[in-house]
Amino acid sequence: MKKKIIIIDDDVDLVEAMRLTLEKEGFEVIDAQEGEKGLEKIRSEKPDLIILDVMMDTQDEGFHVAYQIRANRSTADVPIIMLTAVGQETGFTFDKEKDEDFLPVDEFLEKPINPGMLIELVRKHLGQ
Amino acid sequence: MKIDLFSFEWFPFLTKVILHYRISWSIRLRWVAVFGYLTATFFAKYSLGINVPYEKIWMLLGIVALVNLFFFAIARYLKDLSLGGELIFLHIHIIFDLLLLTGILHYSGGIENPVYLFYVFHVVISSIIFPGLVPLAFATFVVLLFSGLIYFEYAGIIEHYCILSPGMHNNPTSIILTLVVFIVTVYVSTYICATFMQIYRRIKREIDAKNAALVEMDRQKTDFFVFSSHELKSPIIAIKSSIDGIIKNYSDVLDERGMDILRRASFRSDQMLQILKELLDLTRHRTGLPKEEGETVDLNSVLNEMLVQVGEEAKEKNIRLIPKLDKKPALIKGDAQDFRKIFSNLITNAIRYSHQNSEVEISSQQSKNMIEFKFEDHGIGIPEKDLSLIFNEFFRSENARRLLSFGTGLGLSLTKQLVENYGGWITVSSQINQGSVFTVMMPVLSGGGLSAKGDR
Repeated sequence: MKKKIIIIDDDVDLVEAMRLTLEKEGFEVIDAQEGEKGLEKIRSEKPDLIILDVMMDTQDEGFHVAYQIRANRSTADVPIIMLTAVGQETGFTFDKEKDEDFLPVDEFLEKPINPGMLIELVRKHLGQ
Repeated sequence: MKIDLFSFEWFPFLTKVILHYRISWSIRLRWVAVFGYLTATFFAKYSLGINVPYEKIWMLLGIVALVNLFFFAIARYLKDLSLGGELIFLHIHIIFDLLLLTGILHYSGGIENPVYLFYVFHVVISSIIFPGLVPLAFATFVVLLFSGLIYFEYAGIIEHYCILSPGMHNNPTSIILTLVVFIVTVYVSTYICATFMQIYRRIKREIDAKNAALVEMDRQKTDFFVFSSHELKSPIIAIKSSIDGIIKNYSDVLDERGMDILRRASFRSDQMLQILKELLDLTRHRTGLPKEEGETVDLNSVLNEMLVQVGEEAKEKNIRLIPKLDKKPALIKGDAQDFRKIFSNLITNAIRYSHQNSEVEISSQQSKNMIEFKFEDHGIGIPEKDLSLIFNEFFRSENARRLLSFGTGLGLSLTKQLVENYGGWITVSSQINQGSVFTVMMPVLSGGGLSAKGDR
């Protein structure tokens, strides 16, 4: 059975670019443009992996979404890859090792995402 | 209308630090005055043979000395007075001086002794420092003190001690003449000083207001720039991601020429992202305050770390990196990331602009509280006319452009900014086609954990 991946990002073109690569690799891709819709779809569609943009309407909407995913028992174990475009620019760098306690995501990936890297990480977190 | 007497608005030239400093200075001046007057009395007594109650003058001088000691203690141990506190302290100084001067004048001959001119000092000081009607009040106080003294001596209410010309103190003509000239002098000095100060205060306030407006404008410009840079990033990221998606997934349907063009497009969008990133970085560090906090970083070990990181790039050009680093840790307080950027920029530049199969020497040498880093390459060098421009934003030498088409021209600007944020400086010397030497001087902690920057 095809693994299902949800991309939650408000940039439709970016979603399409990722969808292109992921579908070619044989994944099923669904998407949502904002956090609330994303959470709804996660509950109803039960994806195997979540790709989540950190910054949608607000600077940290992605974090709030991630917390809610982790807080819900049925979705708590779904791997999350968080997309950031922030990096050095806002003055704080995400450091997974350091922030693991309060950042409930499995991976940070800085945009723009190299397609090869995306596939590699998706496979890793799906245990393939 | 309620006026906050001690607001900055009224004292645009003064801060509590300046005032504190001036008050300490006036305390020193008072020691000189006491000593000078004491000397003068000895001269008057033993050389001129003038007969006045010296013991009373000395007693008053003793009081001045004691009170000055008290003032000294206050200035020394109450360092945290507000501007208002310092101003009240200054009022007390002036009033005390005027009263004691009147006393000393009384025992030193009253109207006969031109020492009454000393009153004018205080009038001038108060006219320079205080706004509004305060100088006028001091001038009037001075006039009342002096006229009162002369009147009381004239009327015989208090004794007059004669030093020069008997009869002067009860001669109405000489009294009126002296008083009129004195009063005119006091009020005219007050008027001149106070009106000029009024003009200066107004101008200073205007300058301050303009300055504040400029700072605010600059901040808005920076905010606008940061905001627009972030806005620009999203579309470029989308463009780059789309192109990379096509390169990865459609290589079987596109011919090599099409693929090549897409790769170029991807590279160019990367370049643009890099420029935006570096510009944002530069802006952030340019507006940032001087660094005095942060973790303690060992510059030598950061430099070592960077040398390992660029090893691959050096190997590709067959360049031998020769580190000659000081064994002692060079400690500085700050953000290790900043120093990584400084060093990696300089080492990467050295490698990129080196001739193939050459050597790059990286050395550090520490003196008492400075460390000197040298990055010496044997490469294309920098034309002499460009040496002064090399740290400017977007500037790249012609020969550098010819060698490498990529590069944002922002790396050295950022490096310089970072070095200067830590109180250091960077210089360059170069010979065309021989190579370049970049030298970075950085203040480091000298033992005790004191901020090196604070010493400068």
